[in-house]
This record gives sequence, structure tokens and C-alpha cells, in this order.
Amino acid sequence: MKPKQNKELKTLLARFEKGETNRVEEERLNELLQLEENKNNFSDEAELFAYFKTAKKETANTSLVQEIFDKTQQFQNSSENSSNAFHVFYKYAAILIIALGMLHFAYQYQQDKIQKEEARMAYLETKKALFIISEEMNNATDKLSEIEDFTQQTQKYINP
Amino acid sequence: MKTTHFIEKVQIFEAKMFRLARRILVSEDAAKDAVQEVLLKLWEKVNQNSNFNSIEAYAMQMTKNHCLDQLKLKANQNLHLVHDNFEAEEDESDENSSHNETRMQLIKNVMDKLPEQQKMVMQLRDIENYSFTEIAEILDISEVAARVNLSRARKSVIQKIKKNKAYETQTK
Repeated sequence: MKPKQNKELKTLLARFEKGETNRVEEERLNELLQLEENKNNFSDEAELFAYFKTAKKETANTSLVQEIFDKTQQFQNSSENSSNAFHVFYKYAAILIIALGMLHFAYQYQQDKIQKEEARMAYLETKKALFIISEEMNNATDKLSEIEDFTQQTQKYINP
Repeated sequence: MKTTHFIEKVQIFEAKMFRLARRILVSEDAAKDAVQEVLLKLWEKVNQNSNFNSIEAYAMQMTKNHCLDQLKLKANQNLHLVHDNFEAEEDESDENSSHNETRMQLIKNVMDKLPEQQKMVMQLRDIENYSFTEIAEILDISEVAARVNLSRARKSVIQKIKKNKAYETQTK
């Protein structure tokens, strides 16, 4: 290496260590350190710059921001699907409950109607029976008045 | 702001956020989680119409604060402390490559052991190429303090690399 370049390298390294170099100077320093003739004398500094280059390439392998929005989208879709499933389930459950309710009330109404009819029929039958009894009793009363007359007439002769 | 626009903007610097988080938290999983949490907060802030001078600087500042909070809470105690990026493409027959990987791992370890402030300044300046003005804004320190921290960090790292090499030469 030329003495001038060597001096430049040492100056830049001293400034680099003090944190006084700018980006252009750091680029120049990197270039000088990559030269074959400097690799032995300044191998530590060259390795440090090589490390910076390697570390710069490190990534998370995937786009983290894209991953977040993809996950959010998936979550929204799955919650929409599950809410849709719940919606359908509740819809059919409501229809079923209404149908069962209507059937129950129709059956109950029919039962009440039959019961009322039976009660009315029983009432009419009882009324008819009582009417017959009443008629029979009226007939018997006529015959009783004849007996009464007979008794009175006979008493006149028995107890004058 | 539309989602696609936000994604496009963030994708430019999210790798920088990840590397800073990784530098502070060490674990890749913890760094990913931290960055994602920060991005969600950033998305909320953006939607609240907050005005930023630079969304990138603000995101980096949030990442730094979040990661330091995580460290304080010791929430990442049980996470792996293995840097697996340098483990890829291992070829035992290639001695040079293996040696280089070991050296890279050594430098990484040396950097990881620096005090937090120095570690972050070195990461932001030497790996992410931020200016001192940007570093000062992200870390909420003065430019002078950033320079001082960088100088100390660089000196310390170079010194330790030299020390390690001297030890290796002695033991051979």
C-alpha cells in the first residue's frame, strides 16, 4: 500500500473510533479495508465492517406489517363466518320455536273445543232425562188425586 | 390512511425496526412480537391523524421504547438467546466460511454486551446508517451524546475484537 493511502487509512480509522467520520468517509474507509494489502494489518477493523454489512441483511423473513393485516383479515373473515353461522342457527331455531308454539296452541284449542262439546252434550242428555222424569211424575200426580178422591169418599162411609 | 398505503410505507423500514428490536431483545421471536405490537400502535396513531415529522423516526423511537420497556418488565426472560441468522448455510468442509461465521458471531456477541445506549447508537449509525440528527431524535438524546456513545462503543468493540484475536493466537 502506498504510504499516502496508509496515512489516510490510519487517519480515517482514528476519526472513525472517535465517531467523527461522515458516511462518505466511512465508505472510503470500508473500501480501503477491503484492499488485499490491508487485510492482514487491519483485519479486525475489516471484520467489523464485514459484520456491519452482514447485519444489515438481517430481516424477519416475512413482512411483519403484511402479516398483521393478513391475520386481522383472517380474524375478521372467521368472525364474520361464525357470526353468519350463529345468525342462520338462530333464524332456524326461532322458526322452529314459533312452529312448535303454534302447533301446541292449535292442539290445545282443539282439545278445549272437544271438551266443551262433550260438556254441552252431557248437559242436554241430563236435561232430557230430567224432562222425562218430570213428565212421569206429572202423570203419577193425576193418579194420586184420584186416590185422594177415593179415600175421601170411602171415609164418608167408614166414619159418617 | 389506507391499509395498503400504510403497508407500503412501513415495508421500507420495518427491517430496520426488526434489527433494532433484535439488538435489544436478542430473541428473534421477541423482536418479531415487539415490532408487530409497535406497528399496531403506529397504525392507531396514524389513524388518529397524529402529525409526525418522520414516520420512520417515530416508528424507530417507538420500537426502542417498547423494547426497553419489555426488558424492564423482564417479559422476555424465557426466550431463546440464539442468533440463528448466522447459523444458516453451514458447510463444515469450508473452514474459511466457518471461521468467518465464528468471527461474525463474536462481533455480534461483543456488540450485544455493550451498554444499552451504546448498543443502540452503534446499531443505528453503523448498521442502519442513520444521521446523528436522526439518532438523537430516535433515542431522545443530544447529537453530542450520540457521538460520545458511538465513540465509546466503537472503541470498546474494536478493543475486544483485538483482545480476542490475541488470545486465539496465544492458544494456537
